[in-house]
Amino acid sequence: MSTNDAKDATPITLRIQRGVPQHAAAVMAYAVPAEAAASLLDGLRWVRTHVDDTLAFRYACINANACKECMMRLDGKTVYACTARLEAGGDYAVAPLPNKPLVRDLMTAIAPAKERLFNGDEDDEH
Amino acid sequence: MAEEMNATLTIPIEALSAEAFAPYGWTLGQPPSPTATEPSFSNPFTDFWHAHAFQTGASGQVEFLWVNYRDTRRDIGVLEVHHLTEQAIVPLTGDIIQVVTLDDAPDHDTTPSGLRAFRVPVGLGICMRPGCWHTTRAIGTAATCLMVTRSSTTVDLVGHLQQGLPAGRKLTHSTARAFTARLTLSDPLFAAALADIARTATETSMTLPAPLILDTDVLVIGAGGAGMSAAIAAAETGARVLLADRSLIGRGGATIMAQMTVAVALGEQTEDHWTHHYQDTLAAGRGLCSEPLARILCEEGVQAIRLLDSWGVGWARADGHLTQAHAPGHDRPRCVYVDYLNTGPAVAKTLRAQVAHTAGVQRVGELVVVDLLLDAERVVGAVALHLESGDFVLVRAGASVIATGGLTRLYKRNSASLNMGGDGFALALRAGARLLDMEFVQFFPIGHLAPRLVGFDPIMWDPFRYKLGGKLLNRDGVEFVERYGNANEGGKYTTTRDAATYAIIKEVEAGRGSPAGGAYLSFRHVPETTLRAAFGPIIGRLAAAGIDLTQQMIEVAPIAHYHMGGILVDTDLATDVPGLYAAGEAVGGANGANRLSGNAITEAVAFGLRAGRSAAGSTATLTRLSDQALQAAAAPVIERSSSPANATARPNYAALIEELQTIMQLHVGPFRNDAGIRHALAAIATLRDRAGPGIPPGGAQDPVRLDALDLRNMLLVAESVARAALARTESRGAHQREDHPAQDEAWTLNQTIAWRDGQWALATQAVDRLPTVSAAPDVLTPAERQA
Repeated sequence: MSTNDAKDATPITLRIQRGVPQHAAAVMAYAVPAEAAASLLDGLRWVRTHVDDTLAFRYACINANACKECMMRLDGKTVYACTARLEAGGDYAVAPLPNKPLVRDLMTAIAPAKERLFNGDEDDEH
Repeated sequence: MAEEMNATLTIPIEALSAEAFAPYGWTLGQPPSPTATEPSFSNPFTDFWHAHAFQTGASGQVEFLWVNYRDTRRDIGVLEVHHLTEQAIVPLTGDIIQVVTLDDAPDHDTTPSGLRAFRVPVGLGICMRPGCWHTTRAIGTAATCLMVTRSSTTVDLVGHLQQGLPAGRKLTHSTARAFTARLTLSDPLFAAALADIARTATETSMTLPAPLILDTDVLVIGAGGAGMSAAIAAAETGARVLLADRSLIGRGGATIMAQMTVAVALGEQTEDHWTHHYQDTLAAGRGLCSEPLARILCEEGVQAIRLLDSWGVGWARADGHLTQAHAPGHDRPRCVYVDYLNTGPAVAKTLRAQVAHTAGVQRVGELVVVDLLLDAERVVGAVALHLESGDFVLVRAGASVIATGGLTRLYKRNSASLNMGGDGFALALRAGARLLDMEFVQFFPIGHLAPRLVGFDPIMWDPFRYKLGGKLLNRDGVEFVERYGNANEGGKYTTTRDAATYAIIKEVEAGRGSPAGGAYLSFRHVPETTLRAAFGPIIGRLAAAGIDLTQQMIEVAPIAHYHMGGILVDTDLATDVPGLYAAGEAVGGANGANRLSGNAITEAVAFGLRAGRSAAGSTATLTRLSDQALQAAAAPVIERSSSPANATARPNYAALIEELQTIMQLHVGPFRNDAGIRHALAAIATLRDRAGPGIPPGGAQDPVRLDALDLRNMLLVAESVARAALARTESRGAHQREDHPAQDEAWTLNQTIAWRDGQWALATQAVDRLPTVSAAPDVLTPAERQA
C-alpha cells in the first residue's frame, strides 16, 4: 500500500439509527467522502462538522483505541468505531449497542453503575 | 457527487407559538388572551373559547378531512400551497412537524427561502393562511389529524397526486412543487427534537426545579492519572471525595493514551538518584522550570511510581529488575514502561481499580464542570452539567482540584483526546486564578502523518525509536537533524522534542520534506526478528494495516502533544484562589519551556497525590454555604450556560471548533510571529461573535450543547495562549518566534496571565529557584549512594 494509490472517490453511505428512548427510532442516511472516513469514527466526526451536528456518539481518545468508549454496531457486528475501516463506495448500517440502554442515537449507557450519578435503580433493573 | 448530496439546507424545528406562527396563520387551542373580545366560557366542568373563524376564500363547502400522516422522512422534497383557502390541521394521535414558507418562487428548481418548521403537539393545532407553502411530517410512526379545508381544494390536490402532474404546474386552487436542492430538518429524528423542544418550552415557561446538590469535601475535576491519584490521596486522609469526569471514569484524558515512557530515578537499570533526573528536567526546561515543582516531580515521583508498581501496574522487567529505557534528554536509562505500547492503559486501569477500592470516593462520569462557584473569593463548589440526564447539578465542596489535563485539542494536528480542550484553564481563569507560561505548547516531533493508520495513537513511533533507534530522513533519504545544531543521532534517539520539531519544520520549509509534508522515519535497516522481538503483536497489527517496516518508511510530522504552561500553584499545589488546587498537566511551571520525555505520568501521579492531600487538609474548619446561597451563586452560571441560542441562526459549533484548531495550528503553532499571532487574536474574536453568547439547552447527551460549552472554553484558553505568545519576544524551547529567533536572557522569566472582569492581565515574575538542590552526590545518603 502506498499513500499515492489512486483514490476511489465514490462516497461512503452511512445509514445511522437515530433516536432517544421512548420514541421510535429512525434511520438516516449520510453520504461521506471516502477520503474523510478511513475509519467509522472519522466518518461520524465528518458528519457532525459538515452535515449534522446533532448526531450523538461516544468517544474520547479519537484514534488510539485506548479509551474503548466508541463501541457500536456496524452491519450487525459490534466494533470500535475508531478501528473499523470503511471502503469507498460502501453502504453501511450503523446502530447503537443492542444490549445496553439507549441514551441518544449511537450512545448507550456503558458506564458501570457505581460510576454514574443515578445508580440507585440499577440493581432492580438487572 | 458528495458535494451535491451535501448541498443541504437544514431547517431547525421550533416550538409552536402564536407569535412565531403569525406570518403563516394562526395557532389553535392556546388559551384565549385575557383581552380577547371573542366569546369564551369557563366553569368547573367546561372551558371553551373562540379559536379561529375559518375562511374558505371562495365559494364552496368547508370540508373535514381525516388525514393519517405517515411520512417521517427528514428530507423535504415537495411543498404544496392553496391559493385561495385557509387550511387547518389539528393532530389527534401524535405530534406533527409543519414545514412552512411564504416564498412563492416562480421557478420550481429554486430552493425556497424562509423555510421554518414548527412542532404542533397533540392538543393544539394550526390554521394556515392562503399562499402558505407547506408540508407535514409525522413524528414516530404516524399521526392521525383532523384537517379543515375547502372541498374543491382537495379535489385539485387529489388530481395532482393521481395524475402526477408536473411539479410547479399551477392548478386552479392548489399547487405543488419539488426541489432539486436537499432540504432537511435539523434534527433527523423528530423524537430527539421533541425532547429538546419540550425541555426548551419547560425552561422558558416554568420555574425550574432547584438543581440537585452534591456534597463533598474535595471535588476532583478530571479522572485521568492526576485526578484519580488526587482522589485516592484525599480519601486516604478521611475526606469525602467526588471524582468527576466529563467522559467515563479513567477512560478519557491523556494518561490512558501514554504509549511508553515514565521517567523516574529508580536506579533499577543503572545507578540513579532523583537529583540527576531533576538536573535533566531543569536543562530540558531551558531555565524556566519552577525548581520547587520540578523537585517534587523528580523526588516524590520515585515513591509515586513505586506505589503504582505495588498496585500491580506491571512495569516491564528483565533480569530481576525493572527495565528502564534511555529517552532523549536523560543522562541515563530512566524510563519504565509497560509493553507493548500499553503504559497508559495499564496506569489508567490500575488507578481506576485503586479508586474503586478506596472508601470515600464517589465516582461520577459524564459530569462536565461548567464553572466554579465562589463565595467571599473562595472556591466553594461548582456548577456541573450531568450529560447523562441533561440536567445541571450543583456541587458543594470544601476544596476543588482541577485535574483536567492540557489544551492540545486547540490544535488541528494533535495527539489529544476529545477532553483536552483546556477546560480546567477556562475554569481557573473565570475563577480569577492566574495561569503561567501559557505560550509553551509542546509539539511532539514525530507524530504519525502518512499513510493513514486506523486504531493507532499518532505518537506510536516514540516507543519504536526508544527501542530501535530508527532514522529520521528527509525527502532525499538524508539524515538532517545535525543541520540544526543537534548531534548526529547515529541510529539512536537523542534529539529532544523542541529541537526535532524545529529541524523537521525547517527541513520541510526548505523544500526537502516528505510527500505529505513531514519527514520520513525509517526502520528498514532493522532486521525483522529484532522488530518482532521488540514489538511482537504490534508488528502484526501494522502488517494488517498494510505497513511492512522492513520495506517501507512512514511519514511523521510535529503534532501538539503536551502543554508545559498551566495553572500557577505553590508547592501545596494550591492556586492563588483559596479552595482551588491543580494537579498534573493542568499545572504550569514544573517543565519550563520544554518537557523532558517521560515526565508527564510521573508528574500526574506525584502532583495528584500531593494535591489530594493538600486539598483535603484545607477543608477541616470551613463553614459550608447554605443551599440558598449556593443556588444564588449558581444562578448566573446556569443562566449563562442555558440561554437559548437563536435556534434558526445557531452555527455548527463543531465546525467552528475545527476553524479554531486550524487558526491555532497555523499562527500559534510550533512557529509564531507577531503578525500571525495578531491575526489569530482577531480570528478568535470573530469566532466568538459567530458563536454568539447563547448555549442551546438540550436533553440527555446533547452533543450540540456540549460543543457550544467546549467552544466557549476553547476560545478563552486559545486567547490566553495567543496573548502570552505575543508578549514573549524571544525563542526558547517550545516557543519559537520567527521574528525573535534567539533566546533572550532578559526573558528568563515566567509569564502569568489572568482574566478578571473581562480584562486580560499579563505580568512577568522571576523563576522560582531552589539554591539548596544542586549536584547529586552531596545530598545522597550513604545508603542511597550504594543503591
